[in-house]
Amino acid sequence: MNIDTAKPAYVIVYTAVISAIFTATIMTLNVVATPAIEQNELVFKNRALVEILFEDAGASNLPEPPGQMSEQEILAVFDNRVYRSTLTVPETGQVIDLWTGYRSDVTRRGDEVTAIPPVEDVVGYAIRINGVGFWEPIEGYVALGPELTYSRGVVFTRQGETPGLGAKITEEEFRNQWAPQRELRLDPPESGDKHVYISKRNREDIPPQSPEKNRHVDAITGATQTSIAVMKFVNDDLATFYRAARAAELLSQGPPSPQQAATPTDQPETPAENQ
Amino acid sequence: MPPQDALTSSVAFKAQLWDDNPIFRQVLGICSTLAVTNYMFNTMLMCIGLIWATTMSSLTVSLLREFTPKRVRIMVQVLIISVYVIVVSVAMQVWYPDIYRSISAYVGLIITNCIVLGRLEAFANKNPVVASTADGFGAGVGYSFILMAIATVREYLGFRTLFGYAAPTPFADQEWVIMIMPPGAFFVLALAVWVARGYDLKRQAAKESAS
Repeated sequence: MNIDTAKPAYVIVYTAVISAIFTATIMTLNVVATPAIEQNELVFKNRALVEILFEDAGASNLPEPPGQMSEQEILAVFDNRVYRSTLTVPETGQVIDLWTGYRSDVTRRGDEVTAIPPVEDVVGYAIRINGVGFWEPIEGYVALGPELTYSRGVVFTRQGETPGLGAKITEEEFRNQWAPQRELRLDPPESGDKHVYISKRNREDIPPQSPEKNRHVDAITGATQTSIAVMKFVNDDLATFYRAARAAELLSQGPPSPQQAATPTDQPETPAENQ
Repeated sequence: MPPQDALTSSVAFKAQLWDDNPIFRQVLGICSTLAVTNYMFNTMLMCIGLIWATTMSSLTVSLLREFTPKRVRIMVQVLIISVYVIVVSVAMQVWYPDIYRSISAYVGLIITNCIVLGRLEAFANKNPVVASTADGFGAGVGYSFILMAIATVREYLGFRTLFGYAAPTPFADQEWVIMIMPPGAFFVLALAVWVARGYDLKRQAAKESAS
Protein backbone atom coordinates (compact mmCIF):
# COMPACT_ATOMS: atom_id res chain seq x y z
CA MET A 1 0.00 0.00 0.00
CA ASN A 2 1.46 3.32 -1.05
CA ILE A 3 0.30 6.22 1.14
CA ASP A 4 1.47 9.80 0.75
CA THR A 5 1.86 10.63 4.43
CA ALA A 6 3.08 14.13 3.65
CA LYS A 7 -0.30 15.41 2.43
CA PRO A 8 -1.69 18.03 4.87
CA ALA A 9 -5.15 16.48 4.84
CA TYR A 10 -3.69 13.06 5.70
CA VAL A 11 -1.63 14.54 8.51
CA ILE A 12 -4.71 16.20 10.02
CA VAL A 13 -6.92 13.12 9.70
CA TYR A 14 -4.21 10.76 10.98
CA THR A 15 -3.47 12.97 13.97
CA ALA A 16 -7.16 13.29 14.82
CA VAL A 17 -7.80 9.56 14.50
CA ILE A 18 -4.74 8.52 16.51
CA SER A 19 -5.53 11.07 19.23
CA ALA A 20 -9.16 9.93 19.37
CA ILE A 21 -8.22 6.24 19.61
CA PHE A 22 -5.67 6.69 22.39
CA THR A 23 -7.75 9.24 24.29
CA ALA A 24 -10.76 6.92 24.13
CA THR A 25 -8.59 4.07 25.41
CA ILE A 26 -7.50 6.10 28.42
CA MET A 27 -11.02 7.36 29.09
CA THR A 28 -12.40 3.83 28.99
CA LEU A 29 -9.65 2.63 31.29
CA ASN A 30 -10.42 5.44 33.73
CA VAL A 31 -14.15 4.78 33.69
CA VAL A 32 -13.60 1.08 34.32
CA ALA A 33 -10.96 1.61 37.03
CA THR A 34 -12.44 4.57 38.92
CA PRO A 35 -14.82 2.58 41.19
CA ALA A 36 -11.99 0.27 42.25
CA ILE A 37 -9.61 3.20 42.82
CA GLU A 38 -12.21 5.09 44.87
CA GLN A 39 -12.93 1.97 46.91
CA ASN A 40 -9.18 1.56 47.58
CA GLU A 41 -8.96 5.18 48.71
CA LEU A 42 -11.98 4.77 50.98
CA VAL A 43 -10.52 1.64 52.57
CA PHE A 44 -7.14 3.31 52.94
CA LYS A 45 -8.54 6.36 54.74
CA ASN A 46 -10.98 4.36 56.86
CA ARG A 47 -8.24 1.91 57.82
CA ALA A 48 -6.00 4.82 58.83
CA LEU A 49 -8.71 6.21 61.11
CA VAL A 50 -9.67 2.83 62.56
CA GLU A 51 -6.04 1.98 63.28
CA ILE A 52 -5.31 5.14 65.24
CA LEU A 53 -8.64 5.15 67.09
CA PHE A 54 -8.81 1.45 67.99
CA GLU A 55 -5.15 0.42 68.25
CA ASP A 56 -5.84 -1.14 71.67
CA ALA A 57 -8.32 -3.77 70.45
CA GLY A 58 -9.18 -5.11 73.93
CA ALA A 59 -10.01 -1.72 75.42
CA SER A 60 -11.89 -0.85 72.24
CA ASN A 61 -13.99 -4.04 72.45
CA LEU A 62 -12.78 -5.34 69.10
CA PRO A 63 -12.05 -9.03 68.44
CA GLU A 64 -8.65 -8.33 66.86
CA PRO A 65 -6.29 -5.40 66.22
CA PRO A 66 -7.21 -3.28 63.17
CA GLY A 67 -3.87 -4.14 61.54
CA GLN A 68 -5.00 -7.76 61.21
CA MET A 69 -8.46 -6.98 59.84
CA SER A 70 -9.61 -7.58 56.29
CA GLU A 71 -10.95 -4.81 54.05
CA GLN A 72 -14.56 -5.75 54.84
CA GLU A 73 -13.91 -5.87 58.60
CA ILE A 74 -12.29 -2.43 58.53
CA LEU A 75 -15.25 -0.95 56.64
CA ALA A 76 -17.67 -2.62 59.10
CA VAL A 77 -15.81 -1.24 62.13
CA PHE A 78 -15.72 2.20 60.55
CA ASP A 79 -19.44 2.13 59.77
CA ASN A 80 -20.48 0.77 63.18
CA ARG A 81 -18.00 2.34 65.58
CA VAL A 82 -16.98 5.67 64.10
CA TYR A 83 -19.19 8.72 63.97
CA ARG A 84 -18.22 11.71 61.88
CA SER A 85 -19.34 15.15 62.98
CA THR A 86 -18.14 18.73 62.62
CA LEU A 87 -16.95 21.39 65.04
CA THR A 88 -16.83 25.11 64.34
CA VAL A 89 -14.14 27.50 65.47
CA PRO A 90 -16.11 30.39 66.97
CA GLU A 91 -13.63 33.14 66.08
CA THR A 92 -13.22 32.24 62.41
CA GLY A 93 -16.20 30.08 61.53
CA GLN A 94 -13.83 27.38 60.27
CA VAL A 95 -15.46 23.96 60.21
CA ILE A 96 -13.39 20.99 61.41
CA ASP A 97 -14.20 17.34 60.75
CA LEU A 98 -14.15 15.19 63.86
CA TRP A 99 -14.20 11.40 63.90
CA THR A 100 -15.27 9.85 67.21
CA GLY A 101 -14.52 6.19 67.93
CA TYR A 102 -16.82 4.21 70.27
CA ARG A 103 -16.59 0.94 72.19
CA SER A 104 -20.16 0.11 71.19
CA ASP A 105 -22.08 0.40 67.93
CA VAL A 106 -23.83 3.48 66.63
CA THR A 107 -27.48 2.94 65.73
CA ARG A 108 -28.40 3.18 62.08
CA ARG A 109 -31.49 3.22 59.98
CA GLY A 110 -30.24 2.47 56.50
CA ASP A 111 -27.34 4.81 55.83
CA GLU A 112 -28.48 7.31 58.43
CA VAL A 113 -27.11 7.29 61.97
CA THR A 114 -30.02 7.68 64.38
CA ALA A 115 -28.25 7.44 67.74
CA ILE A 116 -24.70 7.48 69.01
CA PRO A 117 -23.39 5.66 72.11
CA PRO A 118 -22.99 7.54 75.41
CA VAL A 119 -19.89 9.66 75.97
CA GLU A 120 -18.49 7.03 78.40
CA ASP A 121 -18.08 4.73 75.40
CA VAL A 122 -15.78 7.13 73.54
CA VAL A 123 -12.35 5.59 72.93
CA GLY A 124 -10.92 8.61 71.15
CA TYR A 125 -11.25 11.44 68.70
CA ALA A 126 -9.42 11.98 65.42
CA ILE A 127 -8.91 15.14 63.44
CA ARG A 128 -7.40 15.80 60.05
CA ILE A 129 -3.93 17.35 59.90
CA ASN A 130 -2.39 18.83 56.80
CA GLY A 131 0.27 21.24 55.68
CA VAL A 132 3.11 21.78 53.28
CA GLY A 133 6.03 19.39 53.63
CA PHE A 134 9.54 19.76 52.23
CA TRP A 135 8.42 18.74 48.72
CA GLU A 136 4.67 18.32 48.63
CA PRO A 137 1.55 18.70 50.77
CA ILE A 138 1.28 16.26 53.67
CA GLU A 139 -2.09 15.01 54.94
CA GLY A 140 -3.06 12.68 57.75
CA TYR A 141 -4.91 12.27 61.00
CA VAL A 142 -4.01 12.56 64.65
CA ALA A 143 -6.07 10.81 67.32
CA LEU A 144 -6.53 11.83 70.94
CA GLY A 145 -7.88 9.98 73.95
CA PRO A 146 -11.37 10.68 75.32
CA GLU A 147 -10.03 13.34 77.71
CA LEU A 148 -8.36 15.14 74.79
CA THR A 149 -5.12 15.17 76.76
CA TYR A 150 -2.88 12.49 75.28
CA SER A 151 -2.15 11.31 71.76
CA ARG A 152 -3.54 7.95 70.63
CA GLY A 153 -1.73 7.90 67.30
CA VAL A 154 -0.84 9.61 64.09
CA VAL A 155 -1.07 8.50 60.48
CA PHE A 156 -0.11 10.17 57.22
CA THR A 157 -2.29 9.43 54.22
CA ARG A 158 -0.54 11.63 51.68
CA GLN A 159 3.07 12.73 51.46
CA GLY A 160 5.74 13.18 48.84
CA GLU A 161 8.80 13.56 51.06
CA THR A 162 12.22 12.13 50.20
CA PRO A 163 12.09 8.32 50.30
CA GLY A 164 14.24 7.07 53.15
CA LEU A 165 14.35 10.47 54.83
CA GLY A 166 11.25 12.66 55.20
CA ALA A 167 9.05 9.79 54.04
CA LYS A 168 9.93 8.05 57.32
CA ILE A 169 7.04 9.96 58.91
CA THR A 170 4.88 7.09 57.65
CA GLU A 171 7.04 4.42 59.32
CA GLU A 172 6.44 2.82 62.69
CA GLU A 173 9.54 4.23 64.35
CA PHE A 174 8.19 7.76 64.00
CA ARG A 175 4.50 6.91 64.45
CA ASN A 176 5.08 4.78 67.56
CA GLN A 177 6.14 7.91 69.41
CA TRP A 178 2.50 9.00 69.21
CA ALA A 179 1.10 5.73 70.56
CA PRO A 180 -0.86 5.75 73.87
CA GLN A 181 1.89 4.01 75.85
CA ARG A 182 4.31 6.86 75.10
CA GLU A 183 1.95 9.31 76.88
CA LEU A 184 2.59 12.15 74.49
CA ARG A 185 0.63 15.19 75.67
CA LEU A 186 -1.22 17.20 73.05
CA ASP A 187 -3.58 19.29 75.20
CA PRO A 188 -3.20 23.09 75.33
CA PRO A 189 0.14 23.78 77.03
CA GLU A 190 0.29 25.69 80.31
CA SER A 191 3.61 27.21 79.29
CA GLY A 192 5.42 27.45 76.00
CA ASP A 193 3.54 27.90 72.78
CA LYS A 194 3.51 24.43 71.26
CA HIS A 195 1.29 21.41 71.82
CA VAL A 196 4.05 19.12 70.60
CA TYR A 197 7.79 19.56 69.91
CA ILE A 198 9.52 17.62 67.15
CA SER A 199 13.23 18.23 67.59
CA LYS A 200 16.68 16.68 67.59
CA ARG A 201 16.92 16.90 71.39
CA ASN A 202 17.44 13.71 73.29
CA ARG A 203 14.29 12.92 75.26
CA GLU A 204 16.31 12.07 78.40
CA ASP A 205 18.09 15.42 78.32
CA ILE A 206 14.91 17.47 78.57
CA PRO A 207 14.68 19.03 82.06
CA PRO A 208 11.42 18.45 83.96
CA GLN A 209 10.55 22.16 83.99
CA SER A 210 10.94 22.48 80.19
CA PRO A 211 7.71 23.00 78.23
CA GLU A 212 9.05 20.27 75.93
CA LYS A 213 8.83 17.64 78.69
CA ASN A 214 6.21 14.97 77.83
CA ARG A 215 5.51 16.80 74.57
CA HIS A 216 8.64 15.71 72.74
CA VAL A 217 8.86 13.64 69.55
CA ASP A 218 12.24 12.68 68.07
CA ALA A 219 12.85 14.36 64.72
CA ILE A 220 13.84 12.17 61.76
CA THR A 221 17.59 12.13 61.16
CA GLY A 222 18.45 13.86 57.90
CA ALA A 223 14.91 15.18 57.46
CA THR A 224 14.93 18.30 59.60
CA GLN A 225 12.75 20.27 57.17
CA THR A 226 10.05 17.60 57.09
CA SER A 227 10.15 17.32 60.90
CA ILE A 228 9.79 21.08 61.27
CA ALA A 229 6.96 21.18 58.73
CA VAL A 230 5.06 18.40 60.53
CA MET A 231 5.58 20.10 63.90
CA LYS A 232 4.27 23.39 62.53
CA PHE A 233 1.07 22.15 60.94
CA VAL A 234 0.27 19.65 63.71
CA ASN A 235 0.54 22.47 66.25
CA ASP A 236 -1.56 24.80 64.09
CA ASP A 237 -4.25 22.17 63.53
CA LEU A 238 -4.30 21.16 67.20
CA ALA A 239 -4.63 24.78 68.32
CA THR A 240 -7.56 25.26 65.94
CA PHE A 241 -9.15 22.00 67.08
CA TYR A 242 -8.88 22.87 70.75
CA ARG A 243 -10.55 26.23 70.19
CA ALA A 244 -13.44 24.47 68.50
CA ALA A 245 -13.50 21.66 71.08
CA ARG A 246 -13.67 24.15 73.95
CA ALA A 247 -16.52 25.96 72.23
CA ALA A 248 -18.33 22.66 71.77
CA GLU A 249 -17.67 21.81 75.43
CA LEU A 250 -15.80 18.68 74.49
CA LEU A 251 -12.82 19.95 76.45
CA SER A 252 -13.63 19.80 80.13
CA GLN A 253 -10.13 20.41 81.48
CA GLY A 254 -7.09 22.48 80.70
CA PRO A 255 -6.08 26.08 81.22
CA PRO A 256 -8.57 28.65 79.97
CA SER A 257 -7.45 31.39 77.63
CA PRO A 258 -9.26 34.48 76.32
CA GLN A 259 -8.92 33.28 72.71
CA GLN A 260 -10.43 29.95 73.64
CA ALA A 261 -13.50 31.27 75.45
CA ALA A 262 -16.39 28.91 75.15
CA THR A 263 -19.29 29.78 72.93
CA PRO A 264 -22.48 27.81 72.34
CA THR A 265 -21.79 24.54 70.63
CA ASP A 266 -22.56 24.12 67.00
CA GLN A 267 -22.02 20.40 67.00
CA PRO A 268 -25.24 18.82 65.72
CA GLU A 269 -27.29 17.23 68.48
CA THR A 270 -28.70 14.64 66.15
CA PRO A 271 -26.28 12.70 64.07
CA ALA A 272 -26.64 13.44 60.38
CA GLU A 273 -23.48 12.36 58.68
CA ASN A 274 -21.07 9.46 58.89
CA GLN A 275 -18.77 8.87 55.97
CA MET B 1 19.72 -20.06 9.62
CA PRO B 2 17.36 -17.85 11.62
CA PRO B 3 15.26 -15.29 9.72
CA GLN B 4 16.75 -11.83 9.30
CA ASP B 5 14.24 -10.18 11.64
CA ALA B 6 14.96 -12.66 14.42
CA LEU B 7 18.69 -12.11 13.95
CA THR B 8 18.19 -8.35 14.13
CA SER B 9 16.05 -8.78 17.25
CA SER B 10 18.77 -10.70 19.00
CA VAL B 11 21.39 -8.14 18.01
CA ALA B 12 19.14 -5.23 19.02
CA PHE B 13 18.40 -6.76 22.42
CA LYS B 14 22.04 -7.56 23.20
CA ALA B 15 23.23 -4.12 22.05
CA GLN B 16 20.89 -2.41 24.50
CA LEU B 17 22.06 -4.63 27.33
CA TRP B 18 25.72 -3.68 27.06
CA ASP B 19 27.26 -2.06 23.95
CA ASP B 20 24.62 0.69 23.73
CA ASN B 21 23.44 0.51 27.34
CA PRO B 22 21.17 3.52 27.99
CA ILE B 23 22.82 4.44 31.29
CA PHE B 24 26.56 4.01 30.94
CA ARG B 25 26.86 4.32 27.14
CA GLN B 26 24.17 6.77 26.11
CA VAL B 27 23.92 8.44 29.56
CA LEU B 28 20.12 8.66 29.25
CA GLY B 29 17.47 8.41 31.99
CA ILE B 30 19.76 9.97 34.56
CA CYS B 31 16.98 11.95 36.29
CA SER B 32 15.17 8.82 37.42
CA THR B 33 18.46 7.11 38.17
CA LEU B 34 19.15 9.82 40.71
CA ALA B 35 15.59 9.98 42.01
CA VAL B 36 14.55 6.40 42.70
CA THR B 37 17.67 4.45 43.55
CA ASN B 38 17.79 4.90 47.32
CA TYR B 39 15.39 1.97 47.79
CA MET B 40 15.76 -1.29 45.87
CA PHE B 41 12.04 -1.98 45.99
CA ASN B 42 11.08 1.39 44.54
CA THR B 43 13.78 0.96 41.92
CA MET B 44 12.49 -2.48 40.95
CA LEU B 45 8.96 -1.16 40.44
CA MET B 46 10.22 1.79 38.43
CA CYS B 47 12.22 -0.63 36.27
CA ILE B 48 9.19 -2.87 35.66
CA GLY B 49 7.19 0.20 34.63
CA LEU B 50 9.93 1.36 32.30
CA ILE B 51 10.41 -2.07 30.71
CA TRP B 52 6.67 -2.18 30.02
CA ALA B 53 6.66 1.36 28.58
CA THR B 54 9.72 0.90 26.34
CA THR B 55 8.60 -2.51 25.07
CA MET B 56 4.99 -1.61 24.31
CA SER B 57 5.79 1.85 22.93
CA SER B 58 8.41 0.39 20.59
CA LEU B 59 5.97 -2.26 19.42
CA THR B 60 3.19 0.27 18.75
CA VAL B 61 5.40 2.86 17.07
CA SER B 62 6.89 0.20 14.84
CA LEU B 63 3.42 -1.05 13.88
CA LEU B 64 2.37 2.46 12.92
CA ARG B 65 5.65 3.56 11.31
CA GLU B 66 4.44 3.23 7.71
CA PHE B 67 1.37 5.36 8.42
CA THR B 68 2.75 8.04 10.75
CA PRO B 69 3.57 11.34 8.99
CA LYS B 70 7.12 12.44 9.75
CA ARG B 71 6.15 15.93 10.82
CA VAL B 72 3.88 14.68 13.65
CA ARG B 73 5.83 11.58 14.65
CA ILE B 74 7.19 12.99 17.92
CA MET B 75 3.70 14.01 19.03
CA VAL B 76 2.38 10.55 18.21
CA GLN B 77 5.27 8.89 20.02
CA VAL B 78 4.74 10.95 23.17
CA LEU B 79 1.01 10.17 23.01
CA ILE B 80 1.76 6.45 22.80
CA ILE B 81 4.24 6.57 25.68
CA SER B 82 1.74 8.49 27.80
CA VAL B 83 -0.97 5.90 27.20
CA TYR B 84 1.24 3.01 28.31
CA VAL B 85 2.49 4.91 31.35
CA ILE B 86 -1.09 5.77 32.34
CA VAL B 87 -1.95 2.08 32.00
CA VAL B 88 0.84 1.28 34.49
CA SER B 89 -0.36 4.05 36.79
CA VAL B 90 -4.00 2.94 36.75
CA ALA B 91 -3.13 -0.74 37.12
CA MET B 92 -1.02 0.02 40.18
CA GLN B 93 -3.77 2.17 41.70
CA VAL B 94 -6.24 -0.69 41.28
CA TRP B 95 -4.14 -3.69 42.28
CA TYR B 96 -1.22 -2.27 44.28
CA PRO B 97 -2.49 0.96 45.86
CA ASP B 98 -0.01 0.89 48.76
CA ILE B 99 2.95 0.56 46.43
CA TYR B 100 1.53 3.22 44.12
CA ARG B 101 1.40 5.69 47.00
CA SER B 102 5.11 5.31 47.59
CA ILE B 103 6.25 5.68 43.96
CA SER B 104 3.45 7.59 42.23
CA ALA B 105 5.71 10.57 41.57
CA TYR B 106 8.19 8.38 39.72
CA VAL B 107 5.63 6.52 37.60
CA GLY B 108 4.65 9.78 35.92
CA LEU B 109 8.31 10.50 35.28
CA ILE B 110 8.53 7.54 32.89
CA ILE B 111 6.71 9.65 30.27
CA THR B 112 9.58 12.11 30.22
CA ASN B 113 12.30 9.47 30.40
CA CYS B 114 14.69 10.11 27.52
CA ILE B 115 15.32 6.39 27.03
CA VAL B 116 11.78 5.67 25.89
CA LEU B 117 11.52 8.49 23.36
CA GLY B 118 15.16 7.93 22.37
CA ARG B 119 14.58 4.28 21.38
CA LEU B 120 11.37 5.12 19.51
CA GLU B 121 13.06 7.84 17.49
CA ALA B 122 16.34 6.00 16.94
CA PHE B 123 15.05 2.47 16.27
CA ALA B 124 11.34 1.65 16.43
CA ASN B 125 10.46 4.38 13.96
CA LYS B 126 12.57 2.67 11.26
CA ASN B 127 12.61 -1.05 12.01
CA PRO B 128 10.29 -4.08 11.91
CA VAL B 129 8.00 -4.91 14.81
CA VAL B 130 9.86 -7.86 16.36
CA ALA B 131 13.26 -6.16 16.23
CA SER B 132 11.79 -2.93 17.63
CA THR B 133 10.07 -4.75 20.46
CA ALA B 134 13.33 -6.56 21.28
CA ASP B 135 15.18 -3.24 21.19
CA GLY B 136 12.66 -1.60 23.54
CA PHE B 137 12.73 -4.56 25.90
CA GLY B 138 16.54 -4.61 25.82
CA ALA B 139 16.71 -0.88 26.59
CA GLY B 140 14.41 -1.41 29.58
CA VAL B 141 16.40 -4.37 30.87
CA GLY B 142 19.74 -2.61 30.25
CA TYR B 143 18.50 0.41 32.21
CA SER B 144 17.14 -1.84 34.96
CA PHE B 145 20.19 -3.89 35.77
CA ILE B 146 22.38 -0.81 36.15
CA LEU B 147 19.72 0.88 38.26
CA MET B 148 19.34 -2.15 40.49
CA ALA B 149 23.11 -2.31 40.96
CA ILE B 150 23.18 1.36 41.96
CA ALA B 151 20.18 0.90 44.27
CA THR B 152 21.83 -2.10 45.93
CA VAL B 153 24.91 -0.06 46.83
CA ARG B 154 22.92 2.99 47.94
CA GLU B 155 20.39 1.12 50.08
CA TYR B 156 23.07 -1.06 51.66
CA LEU B 157 25.35 1.83 52.56
CA GLY B 158 22.55 4.26 53.34
CA PHE B 159 20.26 2.02 55.38
CA ARG B 160 22.25 -1.20 55.94
CA THR B 161 19.32 -3.03 54.36
CA LEU B 162 18.55 -4.86 51.11
CA PHE B 163 14.94 -4.72 49.90
CA GLY B 164 14.15 -3.35 53.36
CA TYR B 165 15.63 -6.35 55.21
CA ALA B 166 18.58 -5.83 57.53
CA ALA B 167 21.83 -6.92 55.88
CA PRO B 168 24.99 -8.03 57.71
CA THR B 169 27.88 -5.60 57.52
CA PRO B 170 31.60 -5.85 58.30
CA PHE B 171 31.74 -2.06 58.76
CA ALA B 172 30.93 -0.04 61.84
CA ASP B 173 27.17 0.11 62.25
CA GLN B 174 26.92 3.62 60.89
CA GLU B 175 24.51 4.50 58.07
CA TRP B 176 25.87 6.75 55.33
CA VAL B 177 23.05 9.25 55.03
CA ILE B 178 24.67 10.85 51.99
CA MET B 179 24.09 7.64 50.06
CA ILE B 180 20.31 8.08 50.23
CA MET B 181 20.57 11.73 49.27
CA PRO B 182 20.88 12.82 45.58
CA PRO B 183 24.68 13.39 45.85
CA GLY B 184 25.07 9.73 46.80
CA ALA B 185 23.42 8.77 43.51
CA PHE B 186 25.93 10.91 41.59
CA PHE B 187 28.85 9.18 43.31
CA VAL B 188 27.56 5.65 42.75
CA LEU B 189 26.42 6.37 39.18
CA ALA B 190 29.83 7.77 38.29
CA LEU B 191 31.52 4.72 39.80
CA ALA B 192 29.17 2.39 37.93
CA VAL B 193 29.91 4.11 34.61
CA TRP B 194 33.64 4.02 35.37
CA VAL B 195 33.63 0.31 36.23
CA ALA B 196 31.48 -0.65 33.23
CA ARG B 197 33.49 1.37 30.73
CA GLY B 198 36.78 0.22 32.26
CA TYR B 199 35.70 -3.39 31.92
CA ASP B 200 34.61 -2.73 28.35
CA LEU B 201 37.95 -1.15 27.41
CA LYS B 202 39.82 -4.13 28.85
CA ARG B 203 37.57 -6.53 26.95
CA GLN B 204 38.13 -4.71 23.67
CA ALA B 205 41.89 -4.54 24.23
CA ALA B 206 41.95 -8.27 24.87
CA LYS B 207 39.98 -8.89 21.67
CA GLU B 208 42.32 -6.73 19.60
CA SER B 209 45.44 -8.39 20.95
CA ALA B 210 43.95 -11.80 20.22
CA SER B 211 43.08 -10.95 16.60
